[in-house]
Amino acid sequence: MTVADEYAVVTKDLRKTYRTARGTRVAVDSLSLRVPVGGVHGFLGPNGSGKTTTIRMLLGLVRADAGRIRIFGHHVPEALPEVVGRVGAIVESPKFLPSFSGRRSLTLLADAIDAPTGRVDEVLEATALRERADDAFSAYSLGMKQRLAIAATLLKRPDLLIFDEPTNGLDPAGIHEIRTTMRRLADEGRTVLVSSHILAEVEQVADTVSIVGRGRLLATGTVAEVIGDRGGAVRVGVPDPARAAQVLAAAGLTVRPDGDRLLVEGEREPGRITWLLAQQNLWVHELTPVRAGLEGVFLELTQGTSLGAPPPDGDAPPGGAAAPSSAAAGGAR
Amino acid sequence: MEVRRIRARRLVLLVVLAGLGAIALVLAGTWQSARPLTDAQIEDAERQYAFALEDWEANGEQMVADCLEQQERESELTGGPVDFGCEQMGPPQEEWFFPQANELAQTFVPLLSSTATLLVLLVFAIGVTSTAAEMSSGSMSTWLTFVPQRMRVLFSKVGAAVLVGLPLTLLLVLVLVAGLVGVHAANDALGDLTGEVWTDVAWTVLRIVLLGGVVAGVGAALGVLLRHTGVALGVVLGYAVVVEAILGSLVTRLQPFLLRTTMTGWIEGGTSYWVNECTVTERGTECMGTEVPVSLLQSSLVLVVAVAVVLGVTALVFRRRDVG
Repeated sequence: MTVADEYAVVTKDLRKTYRTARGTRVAVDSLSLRVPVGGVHGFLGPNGSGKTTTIRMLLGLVRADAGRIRIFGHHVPEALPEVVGRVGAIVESPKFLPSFSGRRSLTLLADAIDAPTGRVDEVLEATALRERADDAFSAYSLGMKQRLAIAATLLKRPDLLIFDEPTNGLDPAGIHEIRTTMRRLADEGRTVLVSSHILAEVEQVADTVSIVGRGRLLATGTVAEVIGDRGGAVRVGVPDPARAAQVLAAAGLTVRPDGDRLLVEGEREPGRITWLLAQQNLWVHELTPVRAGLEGVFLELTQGTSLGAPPPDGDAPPGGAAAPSSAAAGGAR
Repeated sequence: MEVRRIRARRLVLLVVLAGLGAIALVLAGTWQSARPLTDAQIEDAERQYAFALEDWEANGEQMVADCLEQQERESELTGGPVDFGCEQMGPPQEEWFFPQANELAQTFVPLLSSTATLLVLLVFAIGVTSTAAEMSSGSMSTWLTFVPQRMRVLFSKVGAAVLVGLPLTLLLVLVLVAGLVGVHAANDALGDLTGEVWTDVAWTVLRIVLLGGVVAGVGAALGVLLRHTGVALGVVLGYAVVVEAILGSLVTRLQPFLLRTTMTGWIEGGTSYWVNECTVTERGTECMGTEVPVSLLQSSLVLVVAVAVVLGVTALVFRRRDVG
């Protein structure tokens, strides 16, 4: 299997800088991404970390200063016309002319790509917009605007869907709807690349993730790999937490107080904790594995510092952003 | 498809209405100048004529004598021949007091030409906003994710603006022509509308329509280049003030290349501008105005170059620019 067969999107040392009044700002810095074919790939990072710029470069809207991009093996932006038929994208908020109805906007786009006439009704149906299809875009709710944008991407029957912050501004029902739609599209065999700074929602739907900060890749892999590499923790309830902490620490485990409980890190086998404590006549009344969430991993990777928009050159601290984690070096499946 | 996209915009309808409103105002003004004199105006004119004639008969000889005396005095002061036109003085003529209504046969092309500039500006606004709205709303980036060939996108939008601009200008100009004929016919002021006049009118209409199409296309290109309708119209307004009005009057050599000269030359099949040549003599600075003709060919060439420059710059910029 070649790289082109295995990965829908591959970027290598991608770099983009913007000139600002204060100097040059590096938006994307040596970013090497690999988005596997099929499934949902979460592209995560705080606001200003370079996600949208990267997506714009993938779509040929923004020109990279350096690096290479391949989509389904085609070099972008040079060969974009050859591959664009397989790519549907929503960049930031959905953008259509406000006075046009949803149906009119879709019809014009369908004409542009020679999609069959009936396709507009199909995608309106698929995104539950048929009843409001003739209303002006300006009269749509945020959720409906987002669904119209997804409908537009589906006109092409794309193999790769790129959604940039698709749930921004949506209510919980809208978020659930978009998440379900993304999952369904992936289950149909398509590749969905979704960027977000709301990690919890991506964690629920993504198969693989890449985490970026200040334009750099911090970690990538399956969700399980990215979370798993950082281990988990076990919450321990015991009558004498102070003595139990001493016992476990002496056994080489990392122990933190968690209210009237202990949080033990670095031990994936809870049975050993029970055994260690029982030997000292400390009888456990709670032993709960605490799975590390993607959000926890993200915060750990970013170490609580802002990894959003970096300052212009000259203001950057020595060493720049956080160094890539081992998960990044490990790569995806 | 791009044409449908432009035509579907409400602004196009608004511009058509604005154009029709402008034409209505022009026709209202024309109605005033084409209207025959009322009985009261005729009576007043007769009274004025009788008064002037009576005054001439009583004081005419003295007026001529005073004129000749002042002419002689001026000649002595300046040391050269002076002509006050005293010999041409004579009794008042009746027609001076009975102004004739403007006949369409004489004013047809000038009326079309003066109104066309406004109509063409409206069509230009449609061209600008057709693309600037897409740039500023971000729908251009959506569009490019469907059709990433930027030059194809640019020229399809410019072409669409031309295709919308042509019939729109034709519609407005035909309404103007019909209105002018109607207004003058109602006032019995058509004059002698010969085949030659109609041929002139037909050529003028054709050139106005072509100009409307070209200007709409240039507007669309400027909309892509400047990304906001307000900015594009502001740049054009700034150009009109700085280059056309200020620089144009300061630097005479610019005259044949100014847009207003070029557009008039194109619409009217040639035009002219005046150059003042001043010399300093013992009697002070004397200036003489010289009329310089501008041919249709010259106007066409300037127009073609201007259009090529705008399209070329837009294509170069749009080809590489990041689209937000």
